[in-house]
Amino acid sequence: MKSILFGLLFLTASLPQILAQISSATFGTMQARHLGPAVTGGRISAIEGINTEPRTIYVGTAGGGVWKTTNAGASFSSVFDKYCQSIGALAIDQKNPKTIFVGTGESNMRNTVSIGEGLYKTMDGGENWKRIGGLDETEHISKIIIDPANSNTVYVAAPGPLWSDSDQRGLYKSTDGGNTFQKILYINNKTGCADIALDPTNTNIVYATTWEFRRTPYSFNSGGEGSAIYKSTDGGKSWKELTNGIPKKPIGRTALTLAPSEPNHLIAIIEGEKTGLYISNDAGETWKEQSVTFNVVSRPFYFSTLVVDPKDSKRVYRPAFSFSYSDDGGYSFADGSGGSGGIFGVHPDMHALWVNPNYTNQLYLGTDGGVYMSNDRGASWMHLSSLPVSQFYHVTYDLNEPYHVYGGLQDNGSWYAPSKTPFGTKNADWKFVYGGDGFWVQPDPVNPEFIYAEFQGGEIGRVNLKEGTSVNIKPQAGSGEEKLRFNWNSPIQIGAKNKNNLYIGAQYLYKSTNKGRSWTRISPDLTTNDKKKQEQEKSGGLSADNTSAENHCTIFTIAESPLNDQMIWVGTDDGNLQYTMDGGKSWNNVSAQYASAGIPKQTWVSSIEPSRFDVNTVYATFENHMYGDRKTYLAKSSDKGKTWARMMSDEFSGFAHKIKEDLVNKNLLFLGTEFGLFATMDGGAKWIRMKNNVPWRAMVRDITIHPVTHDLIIATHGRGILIVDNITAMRNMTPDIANKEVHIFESAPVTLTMGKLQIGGTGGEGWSANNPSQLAPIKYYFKNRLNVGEVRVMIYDHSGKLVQSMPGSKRKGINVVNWNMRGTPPQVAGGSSKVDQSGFLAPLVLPGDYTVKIKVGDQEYQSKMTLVAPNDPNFTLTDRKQQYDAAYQLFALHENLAKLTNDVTLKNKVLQAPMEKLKDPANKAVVKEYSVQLDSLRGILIPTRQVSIFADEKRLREDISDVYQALCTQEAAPSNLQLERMKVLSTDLKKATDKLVSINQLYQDRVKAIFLKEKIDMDKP
Amino acid sequence: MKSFFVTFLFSMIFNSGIAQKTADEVVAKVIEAQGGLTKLKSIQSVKQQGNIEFSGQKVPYNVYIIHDKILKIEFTFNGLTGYQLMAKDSGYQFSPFQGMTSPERMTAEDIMQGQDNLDIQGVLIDYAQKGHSIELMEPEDVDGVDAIQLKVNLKSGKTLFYFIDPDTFYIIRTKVKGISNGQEYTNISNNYNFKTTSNGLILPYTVDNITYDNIEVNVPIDQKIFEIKKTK
Repeated sequence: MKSILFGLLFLTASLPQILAQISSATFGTMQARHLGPAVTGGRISAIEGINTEPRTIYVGTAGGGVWKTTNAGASFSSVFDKYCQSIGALAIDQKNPKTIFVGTGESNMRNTVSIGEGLYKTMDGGENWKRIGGLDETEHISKIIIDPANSNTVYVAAPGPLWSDSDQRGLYKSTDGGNTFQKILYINNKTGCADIALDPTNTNIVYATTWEFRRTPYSFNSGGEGSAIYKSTDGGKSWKELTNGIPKKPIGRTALTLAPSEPNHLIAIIEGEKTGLYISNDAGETWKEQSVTFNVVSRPFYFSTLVVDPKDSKRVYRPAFSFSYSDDGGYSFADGSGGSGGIFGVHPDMHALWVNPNYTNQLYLGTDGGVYMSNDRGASWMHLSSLPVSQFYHVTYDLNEPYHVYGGLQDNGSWYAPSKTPFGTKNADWKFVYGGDGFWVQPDPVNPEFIYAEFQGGEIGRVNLKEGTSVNIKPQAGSGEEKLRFNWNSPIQIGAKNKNNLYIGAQYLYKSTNKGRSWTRISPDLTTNDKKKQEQEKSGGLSADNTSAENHCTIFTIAESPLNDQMIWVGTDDGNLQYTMDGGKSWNNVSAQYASAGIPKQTWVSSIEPSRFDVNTVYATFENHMYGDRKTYLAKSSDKGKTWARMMSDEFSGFAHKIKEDLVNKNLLFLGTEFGLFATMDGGAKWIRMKNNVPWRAMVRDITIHPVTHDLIIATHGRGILIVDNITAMRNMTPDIANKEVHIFESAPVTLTMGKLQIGGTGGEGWSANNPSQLAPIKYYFKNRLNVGEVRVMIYDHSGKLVQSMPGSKRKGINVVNWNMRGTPPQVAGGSSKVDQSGFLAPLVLPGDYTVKIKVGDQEYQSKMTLVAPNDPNFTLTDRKQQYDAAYQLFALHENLAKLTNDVTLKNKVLQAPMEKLKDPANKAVVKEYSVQLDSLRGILIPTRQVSIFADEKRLREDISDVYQALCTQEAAPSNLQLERMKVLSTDLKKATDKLVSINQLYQDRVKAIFLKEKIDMDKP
Repeated sequence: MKSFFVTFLFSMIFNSGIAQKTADEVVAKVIEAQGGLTKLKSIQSVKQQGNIEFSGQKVPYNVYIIHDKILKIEFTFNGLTGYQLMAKDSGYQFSPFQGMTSPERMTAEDIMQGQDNLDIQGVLIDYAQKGHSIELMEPEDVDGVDAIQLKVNLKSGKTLFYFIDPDTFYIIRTKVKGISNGQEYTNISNNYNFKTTSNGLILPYTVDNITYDNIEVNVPIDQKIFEIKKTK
């Protein structure tokens, strides 16, 4: 008994210690590739530039963090990767432009809006950020203003939480440079602050608009008694509500601005029963409604940007659904041209605008499709296509080589792209395949010509990629059936077991086995069918707004078991989790069972993952943020849903979107949440946050694993598609390995290739992703970073001959050294006026087994690597051997030429100084003649006269290199003429060697005698 | 009494003066980890001989620096030697590999930005007297190490970020941010293979893909090395 107890205690004590070795850093080298696209962006929520250096601009995005350009938008870099990716507002201290505030949580309060985590400040232009306390729970920040007269004064407008009552909203003020904040305007726990404006000539004059609003999963309300416009003349100590000319309450969201050059001139767009534009010319004391265009007052809860030119009080911009401008101070508006820029012209739905104050013709516009720049005040636009902030909902793949990724984007349709292309996946590689807001795209695994894509509300189409045509295949309600309810983001699934099965969910589950030409309803209403949650036509509040975004009591997720195509799981947006074991004839609702595990009943069932290892095991994520609950809900059942156990971790953050079980290691799971990507290698006991070039708090909406390449493919809602290439090392990582000081991973056979992505690149404009390495990866693990000692990686062939030796990396965790599958390059004749690239190039090795040795200090570790030749009739094993042998013959010619050249050079060099000392002119002439002969020979071997890379000077070295480099870089047997040429070159080298012999025979003894006679020492060559 | 004490402690911890002292403490530890103030201040010249390795090929890479006066970095491949040479008020670069036939003058901006490299004793030594300032930032992950981050605002306008191993106080990563040609740039280098030189200094012998076989401190350096050779 004692020993058992002791054993248990030992296990308890030691296990966490061992597991603790595996951390985010363990996989730091497995850097995610960011595929984009940036050809169309995601929603942009804030843009601010530095007035004194307007090429430096910061862009805040809805789901992709903060990006910075220092070249006016030619390129961007992300500067906020460790923090919340939803950005509501930015402010630059123009007196000290390295100080920037970022308010997280955008305030474009659509159904899919994310949630912020407070206010951040940098004092070094985005290198380091500090979270400012006091606003952590505001969830949404709409505007930040730094007093232009006093940088210590900062105002932050926080509309506050969208999904719940909260007192964490209102207008906040700091008087100590943003280190601490006090709330200076608060109405009630439903009403926050939407907008603020400061009079730049008297910064004690502050205008603020308050906004009452609320969303539920099935409705939206904008407007209420709390909404109003306020003015303070004492920096926010006291407030007066402005009412003269303002419409009667209730009102909704108000966008308010003033003309910096004429600050008594105020303009407000006030959402009301009749939304209107109002102007005050007396600093807000009286207001008058003006006539407006449709665009100016459209969707006021969503379009809240109103900007007056910093120098011209008459020029007013209203970016909204489209782009409107006024030249008379807002009394009349015209719609700007949307006909240029981007792939479809300027993207509608505009949320941010920055006017360069030094050159007010220059505008930067933030839309749902990224950032556009205009140099003519909005008459024409250019899309800045280097900002990869696209907002995916889901991702899928096909089985092509290279495979494609498919997915739908928020407000940007559906797309697909190859996972790798010549020179990396670029904007031009992304293909648009379906319109609207894109969600699921499922490639047909049986006929790759077809994909299934959709736009909001279940508008599914069968798209023929070859023909470029599509057919709407949306199921329709039958006789006696209720109107079909499709989610905004309706699930489309291909069977995990039976690839002929195509599913889509409304409140019923539909299945097609003929590509959507006909559908069979295979379930009853699987939702709660709560009628109180189905009054979407009343949604919007003061302005009607229901675009299928509020559709509720719908199926949200579908999963066919990979082990049994009769077993189908379905989750709904109103808390039902059901499965069938008979292909839909009967259904079992297990919502009460998961609720017993402490998960609220009404949650969205955001993903279901039936195990591929055990038919009884299923994982599911649940998300409840629309009820104001941001907890991470992940649960596992091992008995077909009868009982559930929550999987929890202190590491988790954000509501859960996706659980994914690995295809090989049942203990390897991935979790995607609104705030990050997580992994466990022990079935859920310990989770780590993935930080390997994955933004730490990326909105991870979907995860899948490619069965051939073993790539982890991640759909983010703001950073596009991310790919972590080949996760085999994660699969193989165990606590035992993690506890070793050093471990070499066994390598899977590697395909011997020179690379298949060398031709056919597309235009390089905008964003470009890296390709995965095509080299042979040697992976090893260090328990700790190696600060002391060297690491060498050595490759030996089957005979024990050293093929190549490379320095090894020394980081903590998994290290990867890529071997180029070549030997060590030849010594190439030097001393020329031109570099010969052959000195960097060795022949490709032959297929076979190689030994990998890693020397760490004094210790040596060993592993095997097998290189496999692809079965290519155009490059057979015999061809490879011929190529290899021929290349090494030329390799030898190079090394022999190097030796010969070195001999010639040295022999000549040692003549020079003694020659000058010779007194007898006849003797000097002989030595000179010898020197000239050697120099002449050297001029045959290598270029000696060349003065420019643009002037060709081919000598024997270049002649050898011509064939050598061709052979080293061709995946083909040597041609007849290459072989013939080798003979010629060999003869040429022999002739040159013989020439040296004959020159030496002619002069060497004579020259020695001359120096001896004149008693001059001759340096030894 | 208790609450006063807690408040007092709290204010002490978050007092900026304390934070500054902590940054200075880190500097002191880094200096100690490099061999100590006396040894560092005695450095007048450095000669580093090593190789850059790539594709199985080794390219000789040598560095010669006379403190606060001049430095030369040279690299040799295929019998050709290129170099960068920088003094207090001038700088040249020569890259024959691409057909350059004579050394070319570096831009005034590059010379200004490179001046800090002449300080081989290290910018942390007497940093305030040299016109630099330091700040202790949030720790940062470097190769799996939760590294101390020390920011150095250089007088030249560049910013250095030193990432320091909290156990050894070795600088394991350096990030440089500066402006060149009107553009912000970032250079990152990682340090490994720390060894003690014959003078008792502890220095990284591997910086990214450069490994030094030999580092000599305070040895005579032939001035001819720094002569600009105008070739044909």
